[in-house]
Amino acid sequence: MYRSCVKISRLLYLKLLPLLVVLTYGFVEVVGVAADALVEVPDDPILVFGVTQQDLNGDGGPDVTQIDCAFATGSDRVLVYDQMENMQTGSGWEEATDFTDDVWVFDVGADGTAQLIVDSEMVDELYTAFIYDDVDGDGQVSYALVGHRIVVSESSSWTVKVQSDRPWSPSDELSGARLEFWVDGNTELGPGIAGVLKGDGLVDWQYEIGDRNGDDINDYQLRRVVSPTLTRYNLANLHKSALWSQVVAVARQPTPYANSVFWPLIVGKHYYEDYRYFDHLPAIAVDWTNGVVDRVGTLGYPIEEGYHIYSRLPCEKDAVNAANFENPMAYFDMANDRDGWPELQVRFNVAVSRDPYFPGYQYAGAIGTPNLEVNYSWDQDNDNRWDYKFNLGANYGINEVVEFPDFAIKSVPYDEIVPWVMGRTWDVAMLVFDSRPSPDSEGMFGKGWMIDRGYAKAKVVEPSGLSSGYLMGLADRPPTEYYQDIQEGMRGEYSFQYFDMPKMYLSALDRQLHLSGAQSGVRKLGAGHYLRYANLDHDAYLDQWQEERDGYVTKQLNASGGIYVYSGSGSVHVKQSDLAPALFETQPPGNNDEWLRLDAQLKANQMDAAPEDFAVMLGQIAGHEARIRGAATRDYRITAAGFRFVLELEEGFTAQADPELRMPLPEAPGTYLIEYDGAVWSLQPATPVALRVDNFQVNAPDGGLLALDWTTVDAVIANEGLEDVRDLPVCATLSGPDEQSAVLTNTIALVPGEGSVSVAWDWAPAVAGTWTVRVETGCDAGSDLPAAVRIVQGRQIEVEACPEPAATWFLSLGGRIPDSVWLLLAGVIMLAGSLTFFWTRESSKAL
Amino acid sequence: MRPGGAAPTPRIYLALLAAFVVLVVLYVNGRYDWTWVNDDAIVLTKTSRNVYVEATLSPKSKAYQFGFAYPAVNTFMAQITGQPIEGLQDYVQPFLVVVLVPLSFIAFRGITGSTATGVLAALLLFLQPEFLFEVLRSSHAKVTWSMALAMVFLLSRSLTPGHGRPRIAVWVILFYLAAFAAISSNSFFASSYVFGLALVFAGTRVAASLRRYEGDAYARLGRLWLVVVSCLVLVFVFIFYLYEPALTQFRFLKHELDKLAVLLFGAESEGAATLANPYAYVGGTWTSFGVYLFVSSANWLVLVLSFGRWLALGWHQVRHHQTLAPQRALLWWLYPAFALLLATAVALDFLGLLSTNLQVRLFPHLMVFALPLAAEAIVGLVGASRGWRPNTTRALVGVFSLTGAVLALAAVFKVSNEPLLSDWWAFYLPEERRAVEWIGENVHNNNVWTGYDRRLAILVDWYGDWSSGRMESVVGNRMSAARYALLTSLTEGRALRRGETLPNVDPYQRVYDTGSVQLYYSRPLTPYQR
Repeated sequence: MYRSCVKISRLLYLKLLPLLVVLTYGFVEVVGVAADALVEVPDDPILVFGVTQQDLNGDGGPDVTQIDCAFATGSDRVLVYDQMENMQTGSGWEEATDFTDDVWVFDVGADGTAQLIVDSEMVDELYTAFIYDDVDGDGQVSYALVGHRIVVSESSSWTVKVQSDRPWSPSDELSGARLEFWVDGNTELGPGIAGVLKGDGLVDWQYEIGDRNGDDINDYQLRRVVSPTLTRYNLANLHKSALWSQVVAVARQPTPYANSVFWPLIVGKHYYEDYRYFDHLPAIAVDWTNGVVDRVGTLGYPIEEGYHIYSRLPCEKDAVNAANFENPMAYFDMANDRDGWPELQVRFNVAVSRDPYFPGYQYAGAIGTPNLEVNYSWDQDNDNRWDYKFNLGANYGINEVVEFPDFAIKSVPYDEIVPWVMGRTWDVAMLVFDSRPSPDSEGMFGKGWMIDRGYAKAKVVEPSGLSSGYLMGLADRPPTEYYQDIQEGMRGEYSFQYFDMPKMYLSALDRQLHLSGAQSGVRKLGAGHYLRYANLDHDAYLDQWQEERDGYVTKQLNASGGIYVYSGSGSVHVKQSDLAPALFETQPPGNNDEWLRLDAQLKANQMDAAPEDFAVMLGQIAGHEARIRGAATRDYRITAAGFRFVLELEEGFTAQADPELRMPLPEAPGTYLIEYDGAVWSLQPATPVALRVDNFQVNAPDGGLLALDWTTVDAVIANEGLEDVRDLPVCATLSGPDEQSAVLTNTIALVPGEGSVSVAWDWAPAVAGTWTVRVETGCDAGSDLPAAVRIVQGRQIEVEACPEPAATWFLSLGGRIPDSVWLLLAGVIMLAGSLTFFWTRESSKAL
Repeated sequence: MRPGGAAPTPRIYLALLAAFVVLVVLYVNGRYDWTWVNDDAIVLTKTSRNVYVEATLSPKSKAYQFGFAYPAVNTFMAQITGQPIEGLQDYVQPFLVVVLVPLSFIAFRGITGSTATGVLAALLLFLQPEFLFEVLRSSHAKVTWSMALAMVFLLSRSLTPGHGRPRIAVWVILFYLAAFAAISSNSFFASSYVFGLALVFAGTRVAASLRRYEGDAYARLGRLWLVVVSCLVLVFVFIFYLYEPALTQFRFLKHELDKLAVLLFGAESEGAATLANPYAYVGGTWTSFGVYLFVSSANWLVLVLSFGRWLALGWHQVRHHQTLAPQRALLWWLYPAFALLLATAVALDFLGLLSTNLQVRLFPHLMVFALPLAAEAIVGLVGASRGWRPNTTRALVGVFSLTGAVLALAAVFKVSNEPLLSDWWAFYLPEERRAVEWIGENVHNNNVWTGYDRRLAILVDWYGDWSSGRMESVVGNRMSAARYALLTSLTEGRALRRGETLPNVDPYQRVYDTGSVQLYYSRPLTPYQR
């Protein structure tokens, strides 16, 4: 008995302990294997060289059929083993084999190894196949032939199980079959985490493909995580549920893969974006080189008419499921051409209330406000490339429900997507135009701005903080700095306070589609070469065009109150016209009629000029005008009734004006301020910026300034000159005792000529004592600002210490704790002392 | 001192010690008018309630991730008494710490073989603030430590020579029952315990091979590998098969080293624990380093005495080939084993080899084995005093008594985080609780800044029911995530003492004010700050 115990113990010691260590260390994550080169799906059926049969048990009937063929290399082999004594004698594989109870062994290169084994049988009257692939990474599936039975030793569990309520053949009947796939591992994650999950005998993913509208053509696939581990802990930030759905007026019959390897569901690994989902039957794509299943289910991406949903939230049966992330990603055949390419793509990027993946690490799951971004891309000239895109953002939740046979998703129904988007007002809107459009399976996704994706210093900035910060109320101002640049060939316009339905207009000046109500915009023409747009009077239309080269404005065109002012190439051109700013205004197209109408309007109003040729833009307008050669303007700005700008005249300038314009012209070179109040022009020599700090004070409450108490540092910055100063940095520097210091900064967008601006900073002195407070304009501005705008003013202030609560307050917790508690404490101390006393005394006697 | 020598009557001491513990419970809770709260107690109250309501050890709503024993005990008591879980947690569980008094005594007597040492070690155990803090809370620690002490006792009994095999078999069976109970109370605590035993086994094997020593103690300790393997199997089966919530710790951890650390050191990841960075503990908690030294004085005293005693015993073994009884040899090895585990855990954490900050909870483990060594040292000193002059002996008795009283004062100050000395407060005002409840009823779909520490956030977890109104509390420097700020006299008092600036609520709207508690609403600057 004892020896047995010792033996068992040794076994445990020698075997189980290392196993425990391994298991403890078990969840090994291996990430990153170079993706194999993907091939396009070939159209040709596979080649069969010959079929031979063999009787293994001597009963006179064939037990195995050998098919010599070429499905992965020039010479492959498939062995089909009879499991139910019903294999037929025949010279063709179709008559000799079946998919109801045979085991198929696929041998790439006919070298005697197996790269895939399909064990087909009937289970609960459903056509079922169990697929075994390589688990241990040696590129083959280990198995043994016991009698004429196949025993797979590669793994105790299958990798994929698939069931159909219809026979596998003829394959065209599968188009309406209800198919379910169960997958151990994850075929789309690569061998990293998939390798950990795979082979553990637990189903991680389930796919189901069904017919929602009863026309006997499958029109949806649901893929969802069922692994408890992945459901509860999204280890790799997976999409826990994904739904594909096909929505077409006349359903299209999916076609079998021409190159399926005998069994209609098995195809080789290939490039899956060469065709659309639901174009073909569902499949199990096999990477024959490595002997592993690469994908299962409905392959292809995306679709011409339909949608899919990728959500990081789990999808439960018999429940209405919230879905975040891409919900839905919808595609529309706006041209009605059935060419396989959509002309409209609408991507909803959803963050549900307290979304665990939004808005970013620090606040993820902490914000109760939902958020929605819609990217509305369309192809205006039907070249399968995205020309325009509206980005729309708002804090909308999605409450519409789309029903499926045994589950439902909170999502906007496909037919309602366009009116849903067009009928709502949006907090943020952007219009992006691509003059060098690209194809993209997800709309204008890879280029240009998005709501939370900006662009700066030739790099994408994501998250930009627009939805993740500003729209969530976490930031007091939008991140405009990330929307001043864009990729070359693109134009972007935005409004961060849009509050309108999506609208655009065709400008009468540049004949381009612009965002109605845009605040600003930019178009990149080349390296360091930009067009910048602005809406100075905050109406529906852009009114300023600037050409910028290497950071300097080279041309500028302004329009305000019917007066157009162009400055560029050494001349100034002023024109008066009552031309309407927009030739037409419209919403983005959502159907064929709107798409065609817009196309016709664009073609009818084309202008043959470079986008930066403001002179041509102005030239197409008729009206009274003034022309000044040897001149330039700057500091154009809108005033209460009109506008003003600074006019600089060179020696030898010439000027002429139509008298109807009534614009005064200077007679001598120099710098002038020209103002227009809506009716009357004025002209006066400009005076330079002259700044002054007024009313500089640190506000002290009645009891004086206290440490740790908030106060404000106030100052008024006045400009005595006629010329404006823009983007003026102002700093308050506070230096206190114990080397305590603080620098409070601010940037004043405009200190107007002969005007003033107040600035204020909140400040809480860290410690008591004497503090020196200094206000400085033009700080940290390098050498760009002239000395006249650099002024400093300082003073000293006294800060008193803030009284701490007294010790008695802490002891009584503000008079709340009764004195009796101290008796308890005394008891504790006395009892401890007494115990020690008695123990020491008694022990010193006894020991 | 002679092991097992004449000793004072233990019952009287144990009765007095029990009275002392009851007084400590009354003081610590009475100090805050029974508003002493902490995260662990709240989590266990909730999970116990889930076990009770769902009638399963692994409730779907939320299970205690380290083990089911404590929620099961609570459920059992609630079932037989008819009292709500909350009431039991608040008013019954704190007093059950008394159970540990006799258990600690028999464990220490068993491992030292001396009644006098056992009594003194038990007294020192309840003067040890880290241990006292763990067991005074309404948390699993009482059950875990009960079982851990039972394991010490049963293991030492099974190693003690002179018992027949049937008796040993009883001790062994009882040991594994206690081990399983400890695992089911806190599987990761128990696993670190087992790894401590594994180190003892390894140490004794190395020592035996170096010295080619085949004494009885080493032969008996050689059986420890059976204990280690068996307990590891129990831990493994419990975590991976019996109690699925225990896997949560693993799933939160990204790297294998972290997972191993959890098993080895019984540490908790930040996601599960609530303490701040333990290495910033002194500066973030106590008003001065001197205060920290004072309130931790029992630790220093025990560490110094135990280390001296351990060295002395080691010296005697090495130089004089003195043999220790098996259970005392076990004690002598357990001490460095847990010291090594603690040092390794701290080093790993400091070196940044772990991807997450682990809350190492090994210090009380070490102290439990340091205490009997320290007690032996004191017993040796007291024994030596027998030949001294009466006045000297009386002075020694006086000094010891005074030391005991001071250590008790320091311990209760540390355990209760006495607000006079500590900035880590774990109590609340009734007005704060009312405000938290009011916010839960009247504010919706927003976040509330509740302070730089988690004091009020814990209150929200417990009494707030904010989640139904899609509310959450945010703490620390994440003020921009909140449109509301809850300021109270305690928040202000703590900030003043720590030199912290509270949020600038001057431009805010004051929407709730009871004198000592105010709720401010930040005026929106954009349309999205509603």
